[in-house]
Amino acid sequence: MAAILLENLTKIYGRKPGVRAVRDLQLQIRDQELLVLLGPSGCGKTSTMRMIAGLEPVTAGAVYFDGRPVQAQPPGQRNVAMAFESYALYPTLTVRENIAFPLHARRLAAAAIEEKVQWAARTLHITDILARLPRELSGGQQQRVSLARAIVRNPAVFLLDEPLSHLDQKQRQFMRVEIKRLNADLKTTMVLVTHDQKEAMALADRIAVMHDGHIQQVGTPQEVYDDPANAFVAGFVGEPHMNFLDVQARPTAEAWALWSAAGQQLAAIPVACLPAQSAGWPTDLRLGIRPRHVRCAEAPPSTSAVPSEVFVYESVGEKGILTVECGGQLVSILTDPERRFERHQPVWLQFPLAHLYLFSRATGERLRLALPAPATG
Amino acid sequence: MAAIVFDHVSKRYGALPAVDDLCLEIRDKEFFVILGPSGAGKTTTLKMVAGIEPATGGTILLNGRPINHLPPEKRDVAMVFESYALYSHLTVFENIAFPCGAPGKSRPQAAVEAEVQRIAGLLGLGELLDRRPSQLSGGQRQRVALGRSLIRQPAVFLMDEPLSHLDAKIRTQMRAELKHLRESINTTILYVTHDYSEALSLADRIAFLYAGRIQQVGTPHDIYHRPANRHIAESLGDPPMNFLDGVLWAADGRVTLHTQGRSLPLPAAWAESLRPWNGCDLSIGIRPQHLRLLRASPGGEFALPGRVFVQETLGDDNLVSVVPDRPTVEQPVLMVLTEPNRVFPRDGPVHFTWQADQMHLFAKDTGQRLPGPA
Amino acid sequence: MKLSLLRTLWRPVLLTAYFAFAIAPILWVLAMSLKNSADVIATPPKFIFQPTLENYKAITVGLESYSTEALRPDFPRYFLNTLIIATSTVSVSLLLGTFAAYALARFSFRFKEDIAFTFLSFRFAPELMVILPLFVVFQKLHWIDTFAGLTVAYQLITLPFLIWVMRGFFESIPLEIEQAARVDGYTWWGVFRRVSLPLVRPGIAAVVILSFIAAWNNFIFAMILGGQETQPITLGILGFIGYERILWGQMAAATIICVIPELILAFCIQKYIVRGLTFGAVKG
Repeated sequence: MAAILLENLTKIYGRKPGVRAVRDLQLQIRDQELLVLLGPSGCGKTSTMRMIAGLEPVTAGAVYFDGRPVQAQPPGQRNVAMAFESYALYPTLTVRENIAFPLHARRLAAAAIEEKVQWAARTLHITDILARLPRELSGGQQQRVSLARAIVRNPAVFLLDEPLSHLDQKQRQFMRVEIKRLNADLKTTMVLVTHDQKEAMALADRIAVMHDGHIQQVGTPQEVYDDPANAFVAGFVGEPHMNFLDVQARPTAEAWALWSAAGQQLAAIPVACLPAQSAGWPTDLRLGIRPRHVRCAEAPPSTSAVPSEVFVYESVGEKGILTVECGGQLVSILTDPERRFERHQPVWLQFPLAHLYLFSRATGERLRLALPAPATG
Repeated sequence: MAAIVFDHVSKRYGALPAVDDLCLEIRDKEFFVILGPSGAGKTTTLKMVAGIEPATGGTILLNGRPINHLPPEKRDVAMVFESYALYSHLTVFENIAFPCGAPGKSRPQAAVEAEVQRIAGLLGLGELLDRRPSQLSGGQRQRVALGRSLIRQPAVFLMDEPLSHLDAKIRTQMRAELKHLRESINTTILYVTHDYSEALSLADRIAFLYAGRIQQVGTPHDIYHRPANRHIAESLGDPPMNFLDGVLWAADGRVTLHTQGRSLPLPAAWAESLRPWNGCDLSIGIRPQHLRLLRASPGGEFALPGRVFVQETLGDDNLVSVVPDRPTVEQPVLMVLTEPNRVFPRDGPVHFTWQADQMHLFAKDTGQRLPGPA
Repeated sequence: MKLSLLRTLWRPVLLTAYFAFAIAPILWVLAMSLKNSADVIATPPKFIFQPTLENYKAITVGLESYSTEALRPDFPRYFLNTLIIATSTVSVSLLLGTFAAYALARFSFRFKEDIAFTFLSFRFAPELMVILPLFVVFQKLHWIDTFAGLTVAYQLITLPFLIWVMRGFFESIPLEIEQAARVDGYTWWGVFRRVSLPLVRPGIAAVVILSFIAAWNNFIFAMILGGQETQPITLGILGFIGYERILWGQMAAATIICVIPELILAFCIQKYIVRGLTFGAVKG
C-alpha cells in the first residue's frame, strides 16, 4: 500500500570507474499497481529492485515510499517483502514455520501468528502442506510457500525476483494467473523483475523496459507492444520477434518511399501520414513490422507487392512460421500451420501501413507516423 | 537400408538405467528428432552412437554394420555437442579444419583451406576465421561447432541440443537457418532436444522419450494432432492443452461424454471405435485455441459454465483463464485463447464449448489415447 | 578528515612495509656482493660505498690476491652442475609426471586414488628421514655422485607436486572437448598431443618453474648423495666459509649469480604462473 518514487537512482559496482549497473533512473510506481521491470540480463533490473528492498546501498539518488525517503533505511525497517528467484526457504523449518518466521521478529502473540499463517496459506492454496519440509515440495509448491511467507506480513511493497523462471510450463501458466489475482485481492504494490517478456505482458499493470541501466519505456503492456518508444523495446517485446529491415527513405512529392538496399520499394508512406517533424528525420531508417502483420501471397496481389523467395517454412504445432528472403534480408511471417511452402518458392509481400514502425537506424529512436485513426465499426 | 538401428540398446550407470531397451530405426537421409525432458537419456543415446559411451546392452548398427566395438575415431559420425566443445586454444579456422588432420583422413592443405572457406561462407563465419572461441558469441560458437562437423561429410550427424544455450531471439533465427541448411546436407541427422518447437519444425520424424522409454514415433503432424498419450499431448503446445475429467458411456450405437455434470453426445462416427471403452474414466483434452467462449447462455448448444478468473492480453493474443464448475488440483483453471478485443470482466460468468473433432480423449488411468472416429 | 586519510593510506603503507621486508635481504646481499673485503665486514654497516666487481671476478675467473683458500675457480663448474641436475630433473619429471597425471585424470583403474595418494605422500616425509636409506641403496647401486643418480633422487621432490598439479589441470579440461576430438577421428594419443597438452600449457609452465626452483635449491640430497663430480652451487657456497674467515663478498656474489637463472625463468613464464596456480584456465 505504498507509492514508490525512484529519483535519479544510480548504482555503480566496484572501484573507479566501476560498472554502472543503473544510471540516473527515474520511475514512479503507483500505489497498488503491479509494475514489471523487464529487460535482458545485465540491464540493471535486479539491482534496481534490490535498492528498493534495501539489500543494495544506493550509490546516488533516492527511493521514496509515500513521499518518505527510505534509501538510508535498512531493509527490515522499510516494510517490504521479497520473494527470491531461488525461493530461499529455510530448509530446516516446516512450511508453517517458514511462513511464520517473519512474524516472530515482530513479537506477535502465538494465536495471532497462527491466524496470519492460516490466512496466507489459504490465499496461496497450501493449507494441506503446512507440516512438510521444503525439500519434500515441488517447485511450484516451494514458490507458493515463498509467496505466502512474503505476504504474511502485509507489507507495503511486495517484490518478486523472477518468480516463474524455475517452473515448468504448466506450473508457470497457473502461477502467473495466481500472482495476478494476488495483486488484485491484496491491494499491495508489487514490483516484479523478469527477462521473460511474455510473463511481463501477462502480469503487469505497467511495464518498465530496461536496457543498459536505463529505462527505455514505461507503459501498459498494450502501449509497450503497440507503441514502442524505440527499436530495442520493439524488438524485445512480443513473440515472434519483430522483423527489422534496413531501408532508405526517398522522399517524393506524394510520399516517402522506403527502399531496401537491394533496390526494392518495400512501402510508401503518403505525405498525409507524415508529421511535421519528419522534415528533420534521417533517411537511413529501419522498418519494423510484426510477423503476424506481414501479408504474404503466392501470386502478386498488386504491383506494389514486394517479390521475395521462401527461405524456409516451419510448421510448429499451432502456428506456421514462414521465413522469406526479401532483398537480402530475412523476414518472418506467421501463417496457418497447415499451409505448405517450398524452398525458393516466390511469394509477394505487403507491409500494411497501419502496422509499420519506423526507427532511426543510428539511434533506434522511434519515428512516429501521423496515421489516421483506424475506422471503427 | 536404415541408417541407424538401435536393437534393444541399454545403458546402465551402476544400478540406474539411463537408457532402457531402446529399439528404434532411423531411415537413411532422415532428420530424426528424439524429444524429451532434460535428463531423459537423450545425450547418452547420442554418445553411444558416437562411441564415447559404451552401450551396456544391445547392438547399434550403422548402415547395417554393428559398431559397438568400434572406437569413436573409426566410426563415420560427426557430433555437435550441447556445450559446443570447441578447441579453445585454436582459431575458428583451425577448429573447423581440425578433423582434416586426423590419421587416415588427411587431405592436401589447399583442399582443406578451400573447404573451410566454403563452409565458413555457408555459415556466415567468413569474417571470424582468425578469432578464438572465447571471442565469439554463443550463436557464433554454435556455428563453428556445426562447421566442424560439416567438414567431415560423415554418414550420420549427431546433434545434442545445439540451440538450447542461445537466447530466444537467436534460437528462433538459428532454427530457421538450420532447417534451411538441412536441405544442402543430404545426410541422416539424429537430433535431440527438449524444445518441442524445434522438434516440430525440423524433424521428418520424432520419437518422444519419457521415463526412459519411447512413447511415440511419428511425423510432427502425427505427434501434434494425434498424440499417443496424455503426457505427449500436454508437452506440445503453448499454452499447453487443457484437460477435463469425464466418463464415457457407449451403448446402443450412441456415445455420450459426461463431464462437469453435463452430457455431450458425440457424433455417430465415434460410436464404433469407442464402444469397448464404455464406462471408462477419461481425461478430455482440448487445446486453448479450440475452446470457444460464449457470453450468453447457449441455446441448445452444448456448453459448460465457468467463471472468468483473469484475462491476459499478450500483444495480439487474448488469453482468458476460466474456472470450471469442478476444478481439479492439476487443472484449477482452463486457458482459452480467444479473439483479440474481446473483454471479459473478472469473476463474470461465461460458457465455454468446443468442437468434437478437435477434442482428444485419454484414459484417465493409463493416459493412453482413445481411438477417434473411424 | 583524519579517518579518511588513514583509510586510503593504510593499504599502500602496509604493502610498502611488506615489500621492504621482502626485498631487503636481497638488496643486502646484492650490496654485499659489490663491496670489497674491507667494507663487507665494516661495523656499523656501510650503506654508501665504492662498488667493485672484484668478488664476481674472483669466483668466476679466479682473480684473487688473498690466500689460496680464497680461490674458487670451480664456481663456474658448480653452476654448470646445478644447471645439469635441475634441467634433467625437470625434464624427467615432466615426461613421467604428465602421463601419470593424465592417466589419473581420465582413466579409471583399481587402486587409482591409493596410487595418487601414495605419490603425494612422498612429499610428506622430510628429506632427512629418507636420506639415509637412500644413501645405502645408492651406494649399492654405485649411483653416488652421478648425475643420473641425483636426477632419480630428485624425482622424490619434484614428481609428486607435478603430478598433483597437472592432474588438476587435466581434470579441468571439459571432457567433451576430448570426446569431440575422438569423434573427429583422432586416437587417444592424437587427442592428448593436439588438444589436452596445449590446453594445459599454463599448468606446465607453473610446475616447470616450481620444480626447477626446488631442484636448484636442494641441499640435503646433493650433500649426501652427491660428491666431487656433481657438486652443485648450494654446496659450493659452503666453501666460502673457511677456517680463518668467511668470504662474505664472494659468497654474496655467488648467491646473486645463483639466483639469476631462476629469475629469468620466472620472468619468462610469469604470466602463466598466476593462471597456472589458480587452476581452471581451460574453459573455452
